[in-house]
Amino acid sequence: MPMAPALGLLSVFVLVPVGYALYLSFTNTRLTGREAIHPEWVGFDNFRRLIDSGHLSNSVWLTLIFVVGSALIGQNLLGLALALLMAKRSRFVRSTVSVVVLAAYVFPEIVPGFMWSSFLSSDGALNMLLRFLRLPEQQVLIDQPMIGVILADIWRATAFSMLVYTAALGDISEDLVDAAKVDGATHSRLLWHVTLPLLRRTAFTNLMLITLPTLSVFTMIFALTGGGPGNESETLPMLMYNQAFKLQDLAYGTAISVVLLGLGGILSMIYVISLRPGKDQ
Amino acid sequence: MLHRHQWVRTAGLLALATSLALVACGSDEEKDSSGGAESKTISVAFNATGDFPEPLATLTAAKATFEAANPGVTVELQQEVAADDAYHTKLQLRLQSGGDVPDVMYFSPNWIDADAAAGYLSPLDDGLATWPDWEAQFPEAVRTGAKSADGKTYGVPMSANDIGIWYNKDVFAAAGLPEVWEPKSWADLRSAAETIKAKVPGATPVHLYAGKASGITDAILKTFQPLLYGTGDTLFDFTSSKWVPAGTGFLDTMTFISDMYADDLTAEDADVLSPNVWSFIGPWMKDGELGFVPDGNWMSFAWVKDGPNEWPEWGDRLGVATMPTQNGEGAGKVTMALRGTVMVRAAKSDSPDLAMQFIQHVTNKENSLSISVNSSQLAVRTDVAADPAYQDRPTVSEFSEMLKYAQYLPLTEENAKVENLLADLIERVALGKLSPADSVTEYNDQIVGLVGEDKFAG
Repeated sequence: MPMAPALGLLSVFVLVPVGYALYLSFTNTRLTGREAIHPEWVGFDNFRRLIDSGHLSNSVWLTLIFVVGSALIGQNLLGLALALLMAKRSRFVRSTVSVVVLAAYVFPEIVPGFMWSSFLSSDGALNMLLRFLRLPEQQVLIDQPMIGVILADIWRATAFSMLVYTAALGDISEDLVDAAKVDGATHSRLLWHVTLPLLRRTAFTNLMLITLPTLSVFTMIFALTGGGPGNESETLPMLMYNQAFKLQDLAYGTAISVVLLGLGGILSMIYVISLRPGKDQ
Repeated sequence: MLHRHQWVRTAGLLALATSLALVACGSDEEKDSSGGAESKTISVAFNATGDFPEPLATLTAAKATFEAANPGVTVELQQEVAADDAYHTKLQLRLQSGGDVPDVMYFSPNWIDADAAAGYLSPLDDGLATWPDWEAQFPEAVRTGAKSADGKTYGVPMSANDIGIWYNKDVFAAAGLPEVWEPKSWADLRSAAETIKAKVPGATPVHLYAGKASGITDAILKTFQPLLYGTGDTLFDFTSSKWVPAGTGFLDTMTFISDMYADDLTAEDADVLSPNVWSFIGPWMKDGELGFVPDGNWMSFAWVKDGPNEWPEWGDRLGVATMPTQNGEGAGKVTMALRGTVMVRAAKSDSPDLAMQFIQHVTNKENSLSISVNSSQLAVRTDVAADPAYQDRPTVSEFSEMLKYAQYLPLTEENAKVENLLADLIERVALGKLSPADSVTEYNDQIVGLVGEDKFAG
């Protein structure tokens, strides 16, 4: 009974749209043209086209690169490093660093999007700096668009991981640390054998919490490259937008969103299983 | 950490807030439709930005005169500060949901066929039949051109446009090129660009639109099609109304684009890929940083009085050439003629008659003239074309003159799909990521799937 409101909300705002999306992905609905008023059931055509056109392999690959690069490696490790470095510092250092890192996180995504866009543009701050240092100029967003969007996303989203790890470090009992020190543990051994193992479950939770939002990052990539040049940074959310709203192929775009949903489902399953209570506590 | 009962309370509050928001939206819509047939308000949707401010001024003036002539009527202008693609997508979403549709819309003609097929637009034929101006002032070619494939007319044109080559006479003089330039072949275009590169170090020789970001059709209308039509090849057979496979003309066009980019005769990749590249042409030309560019007749909007890059001498310092055919074959010249922007009426308009009256009002002589002069577009009405205020502006005669070499884009439902494929190929070829030969293969591999077997002659 206490679950009723939650279940109600869930079904109205999640299950119904997901069900409708599933239905749409099996039709040929478009934003315009005859198919906008008379859509037909086309079975698995959209999914077959996804595979045959090479859209799927390209975008799934880019999405995985983005998630691994930005979330798993970038945000996660940088957040951990920041948390560890801040742990024993003075209050002043801690609050200064926190404010700086958090500032990137509290802006709406489009703001860092524009900042990075101007930073990386051909006449941007990066190239001004490189010119000053007499180094060759870089067109990151054209030559290496994935690196550009990954860096920007790490910069924006690391604060979350930092907060999670900072909280977890605060929970590590002083007694345990003192005992290790009495036993003669050096800083590095303390980190490797005491701190990091205790952070294991936090790491899993953190990964789950950052993977799913990173999987669906749209604004940052939209602002920086729009999926281009060509389709070199067209991750699944970008592909979905471009197909549904630029090419007006609503059903095809919806089929892509179904794939995205499936990918998110698989990843969260993996994390949920690894987080199961009772396992090697 | 919130306790369980706090969670429940929060969820409850959220649900309440959401439903309140929904109720608020609902009541808004009811208010809109409650006026019904007697509604004396008509809404007009259009897009205008700081870089391209029309039709804001014209519609604002038209609103005032229309309201004065029709007491009790309110015209609600709904401006979208957005580029064409984004504006159209938003319109389509509104039209599809059907809840709150504008009565009248400012429209690009190549959207009409698909949106009419989707049932978003209503034909204007009845209203046009009783409007004396339609027969008297709109030439037959314009009236025929405004018809859709189903024989009905959905939009009244406000203007027309075509593509020519703008060149900077100062840059040409510095390079030792003629003041009156008449390229006779693609080789002439290339040699002019090479000369500028060699002799005028500060200037980009030529800008060939090739990026998708500034609008899917830019690279197609301004670069690809004018070249392709110069080869004698086409992508669409107008007599059978079918799409045809890419051939040697396609390959030659892509090779020309690819070579110009590879040899560094064009603007920097970062600029080419910018969504705002069209707004750079104004300052580039004004500052003598660009030799020439195939672009629309409307480009002078940048330099006219109160334009974004006001430049009183632009009429003297810029020249206009007609695009040559590949080796000077055929008529020797070619231009892409575009049906200019039109005003259309939504099928779900609450007050269709009033909407028709407003469309007639916006496309009358006074307002058509205002659009043509403010945004530097060509006239479609005979009386506007004869007006001194229209005629006495630089480049109008050149761009009107070249219409005799006009080629048109097909206007079919499949256009958007084909254009997207093409735009993608052009961008990759220009950036050197796809070879011209592979672009032909890729086009021919995909075209049938896009337009359907029955619309393809292969």
